[in-house]
Amino acid sequence: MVGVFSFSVGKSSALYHRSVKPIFVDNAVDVIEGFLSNVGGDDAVLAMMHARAASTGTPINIFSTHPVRAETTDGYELYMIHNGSFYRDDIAREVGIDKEYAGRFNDTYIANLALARRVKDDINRDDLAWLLRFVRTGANLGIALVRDGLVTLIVGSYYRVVDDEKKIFRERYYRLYQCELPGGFVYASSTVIDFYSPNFVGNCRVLSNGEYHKYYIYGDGMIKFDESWRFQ
Amino acid sequence: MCRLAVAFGRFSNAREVLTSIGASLVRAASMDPYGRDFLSEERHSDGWGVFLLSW
Repeated sequence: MVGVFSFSVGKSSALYHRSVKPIFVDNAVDVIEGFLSNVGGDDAVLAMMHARAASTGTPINIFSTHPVRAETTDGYELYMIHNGSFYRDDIAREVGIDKEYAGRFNDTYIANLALARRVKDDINRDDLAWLLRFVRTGANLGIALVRDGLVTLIVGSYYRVVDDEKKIFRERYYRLYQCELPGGFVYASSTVIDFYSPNFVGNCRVLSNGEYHKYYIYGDGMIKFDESWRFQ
Repeated sequence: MCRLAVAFGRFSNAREVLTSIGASLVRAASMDPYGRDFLSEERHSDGWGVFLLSW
């Protein structure tokens, strides 16, 4: 099953594509390249990409495939990609989502739906702190709140530290890199950078556990770093 | 669980940057040594997605 949504307003354009096929047997790079064929050299771009391995017992369907999307009460679009897991039923209970309804979706879908009900015209530190209360294992996140001519982008990493025999492997797995490129940034999971990084990607640093960054991306293409947040 | 990438900016070579990052994500999902060691999860096979926006 594939879900595709695209739109173009003025100079801006967007593509939202999801598939329940494995990314390595699908045509992911072609999808990305197809969109970029219409992007000019001086255009600003945002890309949120995700490959899923569903946790045991969680649904595999198009709704639970990331990026998940929800609409805020003010009509803005909220997209989320996630590595880790939340306590889905606790979130649903907190915001009054029916448990049977929530059971049709994975934790990230419900988390994004709940966040969309909470945020108004921006995502602030309290919103993320609220969401992180429900972390089961980890919350490496990319979140984009899309308004007309303005995007708030949140990217960062948090995972629960457990002092067990898997501690070192857990850190390696949840490690999130921030890499600076000419003209922009890449944030990526550890495997992407440590094993398969493109040659031109360098100048990377590992985010601290609990470190999140907030950016504004404006309709004229200007990108502004706003804040860095630290959570325990 | 999952592997992810977020890229943004005003790149002179956006096509090369984003397709290369996408290709790296594909390879990470097809063989993930960290996932294997931590969760016995060598592949991320349960779907994928992308949100792309340009101005």
